[in-house]
Amino acid sequence: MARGGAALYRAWWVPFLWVGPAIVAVAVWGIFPFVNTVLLSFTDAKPLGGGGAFVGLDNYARLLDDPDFWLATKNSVLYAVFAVPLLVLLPLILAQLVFKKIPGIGFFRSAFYTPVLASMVAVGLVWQNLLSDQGPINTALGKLHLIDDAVPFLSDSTLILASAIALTVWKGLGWYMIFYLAALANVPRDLYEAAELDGAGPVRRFIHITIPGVRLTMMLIGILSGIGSLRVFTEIYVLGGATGGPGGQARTLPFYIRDAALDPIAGNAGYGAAISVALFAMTCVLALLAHKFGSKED
Amino acid sequence: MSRRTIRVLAGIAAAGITLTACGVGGGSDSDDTETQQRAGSCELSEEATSDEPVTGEVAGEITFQTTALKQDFSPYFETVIAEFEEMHPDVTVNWQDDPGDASFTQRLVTDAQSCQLPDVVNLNQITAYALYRENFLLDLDVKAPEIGDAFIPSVWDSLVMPGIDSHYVLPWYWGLTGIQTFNTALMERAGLDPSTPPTTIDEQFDAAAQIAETSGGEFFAFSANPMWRLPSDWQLMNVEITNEDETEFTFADDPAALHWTERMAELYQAGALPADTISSSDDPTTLYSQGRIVWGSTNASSLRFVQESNAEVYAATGVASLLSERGHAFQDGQLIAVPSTSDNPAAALAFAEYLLSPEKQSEFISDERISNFPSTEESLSIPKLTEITGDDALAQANRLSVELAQNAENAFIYAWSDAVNSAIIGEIQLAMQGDKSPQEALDAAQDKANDILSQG
Repeated sequence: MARGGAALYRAWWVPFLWVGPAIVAVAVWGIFPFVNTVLLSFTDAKPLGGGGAFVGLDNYARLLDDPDFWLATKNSVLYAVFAVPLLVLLPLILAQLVFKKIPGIGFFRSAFYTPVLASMVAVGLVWQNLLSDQGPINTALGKLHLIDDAVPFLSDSTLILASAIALTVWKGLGWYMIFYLAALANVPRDLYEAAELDGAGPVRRFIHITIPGVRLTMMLIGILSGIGSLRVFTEIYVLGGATGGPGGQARTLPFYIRDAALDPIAGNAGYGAAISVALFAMTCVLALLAHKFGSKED
Repeated sequence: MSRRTIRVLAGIAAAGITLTACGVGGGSDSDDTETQQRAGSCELSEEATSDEPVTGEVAGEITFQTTALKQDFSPYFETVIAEFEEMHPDVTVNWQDDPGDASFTQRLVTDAQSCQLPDVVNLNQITAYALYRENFLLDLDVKAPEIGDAFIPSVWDSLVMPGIDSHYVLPWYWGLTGIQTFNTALMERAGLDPSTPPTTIDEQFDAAAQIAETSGGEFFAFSANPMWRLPSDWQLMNVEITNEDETEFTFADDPAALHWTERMAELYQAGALPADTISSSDDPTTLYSQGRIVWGSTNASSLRFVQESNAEVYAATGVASLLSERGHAFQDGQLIAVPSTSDNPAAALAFAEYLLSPEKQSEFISDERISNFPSTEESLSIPKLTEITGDDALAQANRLSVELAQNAENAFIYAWSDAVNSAIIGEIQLAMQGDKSPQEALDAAQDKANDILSQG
């Protein structure tokens, strides 16, 4: 088939002109910071004023002996382990519930999406109030005689982490629900009708038709929510305070990067960069796992 | 391209985004011999680096940055700028306002890294110290030798950086630490006499223990998070926090620091302090306004918030000094600096001088919404500070503050950076929760603080 006439007379560099702005943007805001971070991790650079002498693998050696780094790593991994499955499954169930075209369903779709629009700091403060010792949740549990003393949601490091995970999941539900609504629209309806004729109930239809039908979306959400979980900072900051919970016991890796690298007086940008590279490695592992999971479908 | 390849590329790209988003900046290498000609990676002008005062023409465009003042004080600053531009027709002042939140210092550091600092900038002491150490601020004793003449001598003299006698910042409005605000109604409910409030930290802890016994968990003494009490409590108790030149922390060896930590742990475990505030960043003023704690902020300016948010608590508020063993209040304030990276240092210095002139400060501080002090001697005699009438909490606090201001001292610890603060506070929190003994926590806090200090 003959190509369009105009294309024949375009200079060879014209396509590069179209993608040029995107390439520049990626280079400036993606590739340069990436390479800079890796290079910084081999220096003792400070947040201000340079002084970035080459220190070889010292920063990485320090990581191995740094208990605060391992605690933050454990917290970040736990965060992902608990948040990702919830963020993959719950929005799917939610999407399934609001997918049906019945009167008034638009209200529920909007309601579930509303938390996505609010700032994390704002909803974090609301949750902080809900979870305080004299807040509605502890008050309700007390009135139901389920507890004698307030549940220490905001003073126990494990519970701060759990509360932060719950906050992340709650806020992310509406966002990932949208992904699933789009995916569900592409699952052929006749499959459901055929399964129903064969006597499959709602649960079997969900397991054998819906889940395989949105499997690639599940993988995408797994990667996105995994990356999001590894980058959690605000939830911990709002619920656990500037120290990241008592004694910094609820700090995640991004929180620890802030503490180690960004203090203008005593920060060590080189060490912070090394922690960033470690976080990058964890993210790669997560992406590869998701890829392996998705490959089974091929 | 196969779906498989796309997935691999997408995964790598996503991971790359994570790294770049979590990446941290850093300045470029600098040669020691060029230190004075550079600030970070920024080339400095001859005008900024010479040993001569700035005498150039007051002209050009300058940027002036305030901190969290635009919302309430726009008309004042617009007038100041218009007056200055009228006096100096060749100068254009662009005003910007930073919200002054927790990322303030990091934002300014980022500006410094990219040589984009404002020409005249409103900052706090820790940020000023960070910029000074990397040569980002003009040496005012060299560049504008007479600029400090109008300031209150004790304030001006105390604003030198550790280990040197030179001035790199100008004092602006400032507040006091050394007063206590307390809810007299809650005190009475706890069986305490509000007419004889504690005069030392230890007495306050005694009263807090009594509150734990009598309040039944309905109210508490003060916020549990030690971040609201350190380092000022230790300073009031004369704890030897660092050595003289602030190169090493020494508090773990001081029995007063151990005593303080032991008592905080006892109070927390006895229920004198709200358990859910152990690491909370909530300002104690909020808790105080809600009637949850007996003692509010040590800063008189917080009373305005109490007045606006809970009239009942405000009416029950008592005010007294709490100077403990130290016997002096501390002053801590907002500063103005002129960065060495300014393209128009003459205009920047002239504007800073005009902004901080006795006339302008008198106007600014006279605003009823401001509960701070001016930094010039002449402005201290404005009617608002010398003719305080009324007997409500704010009036009492203002009268007391004026009295304490006469011999207040700047006791800022430059070594107590944000990272040091987090490390020390974190260990104290563990001691309060019983996860470590007070001495173990202090030792660990000191080790961490010195480790952080050694990296600076």
